[in-house]
Amino acid sequence: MDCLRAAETLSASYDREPVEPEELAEAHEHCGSCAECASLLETLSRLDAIPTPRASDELVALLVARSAAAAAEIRAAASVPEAAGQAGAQPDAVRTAETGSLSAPQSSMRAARRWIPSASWTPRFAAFAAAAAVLVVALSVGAVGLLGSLGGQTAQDDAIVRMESTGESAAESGPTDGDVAAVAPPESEERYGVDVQASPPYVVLTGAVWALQGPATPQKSLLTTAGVVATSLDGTGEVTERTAFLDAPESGTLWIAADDGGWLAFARVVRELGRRPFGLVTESAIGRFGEWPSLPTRLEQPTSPDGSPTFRYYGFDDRGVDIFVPLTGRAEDGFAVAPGTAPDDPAAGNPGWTWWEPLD
Amino acid sequence: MVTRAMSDPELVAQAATGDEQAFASLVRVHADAVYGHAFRFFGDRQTAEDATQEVFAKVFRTITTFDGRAKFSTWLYRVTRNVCLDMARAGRRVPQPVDPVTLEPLSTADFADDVVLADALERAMRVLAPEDRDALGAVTLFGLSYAEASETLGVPVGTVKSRVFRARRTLWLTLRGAEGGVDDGLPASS
Repeated sequence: MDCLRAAETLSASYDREPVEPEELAEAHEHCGSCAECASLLETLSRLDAIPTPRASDELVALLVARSAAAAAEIRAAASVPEAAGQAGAQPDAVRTAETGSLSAPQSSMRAARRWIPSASWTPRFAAFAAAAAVLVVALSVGAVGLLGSLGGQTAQDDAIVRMESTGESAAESGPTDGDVAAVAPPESEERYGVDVQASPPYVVLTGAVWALQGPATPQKSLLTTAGVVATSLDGTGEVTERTAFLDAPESGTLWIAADDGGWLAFARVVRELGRRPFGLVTESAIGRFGEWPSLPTRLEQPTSPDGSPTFRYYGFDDRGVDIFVPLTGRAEDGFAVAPGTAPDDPAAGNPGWTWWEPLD
Repeated sequence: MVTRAMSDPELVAQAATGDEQAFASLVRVHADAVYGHAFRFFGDRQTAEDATQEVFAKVFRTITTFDGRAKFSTWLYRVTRNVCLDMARAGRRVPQPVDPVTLEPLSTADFADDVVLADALERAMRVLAPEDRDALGAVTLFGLSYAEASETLGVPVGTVKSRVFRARRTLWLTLRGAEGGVDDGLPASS
């Protein structure tokens, strides 16, 4: 047995990896006649015995204290959907969309709606607006068609998509005493009264929708090819196929080289429901910024605000956004959001339905 | 020493319902691994403590999404690695340089003392290539098998094996040189 093989065998044995007994015996035998490998074996033994870095007692105490608060939050969140999920039952408490605090239920009508706790939107609105502003600066030099495609407004303005004032949505107001449409989804005028806007700057990679975060510099040594994206990287230019990269298997950042030699960073468009992350999914390429993703073709476009004939109403998240699922489907496997969501929703301003699938 | 009356899957299941004691047990069992990875990643205790807090905050926020298909330690390693990378990427923290020439020379103290050796070892960790240190940490701190580390790191099992071995060999050569033994020079990290 040569030194390399002996050393690798010994190293693997210290990791409790399966090693053939004969091979391990040979490695030890080799160490008996090789001073270098004997030295390595001794070091492996020493390193295996000495302690690794330890979290201080103070840090552990702090973590335990904070975990108690986290546990209380989970208990509170878990209690609400259970109560709300019972037919005709009234939830003990409802988290308000504005404050996130727990308050007593305000309406018996709301009890029939199922609240599914979520967490936060990602990319968050503020971060997105900031990134959009950066984009404007970055792309305005070439005066490419982005601004034109956005109707002369800045990308930041268009990121702030608005609801029509005549149709304040349940999503915007959250459940209230006067929420007489609590059991049924909102009226069609309200649901489809959305002020259609250009979308944020999106690209699609194998069905997953990614939103532009802005120009940035990747750590190139970490980049691995993720696939090909068809995009003009602006609002009007020619759509070409560009290679997209990930900088780590689970980094969450997609990189595309811009025409000027710089790099643009994109993040998955994600929302959370039931404390699980779901990503925006489509089947069609989004060639130009400003175009909206459509429902996957396997899902028939609903003809009614209640989602029929494709979807059934499932419940609402803690921002009041109504959630729909396929007639025989489960929300855990994917859900739809109707047009007309809150202004800080990634789907706000979308004239169509959006489809979200679990990330994990 | 932590007494583990319940297994990780049992603790996670309890924690997902909001059981404070289960949360606390998970913290006590896994805090050292998380902290150890962060310390070796950033090279300073304060940042490592910040990262550890962030990791567990993330774990608590998302523990209900853990479906048990992988081991909890595998999931925790993934979260830890991502938090450290995100912190570095966001510019909030910068990992200590890993170029050997920037390292403070290791002492030539007697490594018969485990405390001295442990200290020298942690400084020698700075010499390792990040991917080698990642693989070594996954296996030795989090107790992942090569196959589990392979899945998490997105590389073949053989690559994990090579990286772990390369990390150990580099540590051996570094420590041996520092102790006054034969100085082979630092090995190439490739």
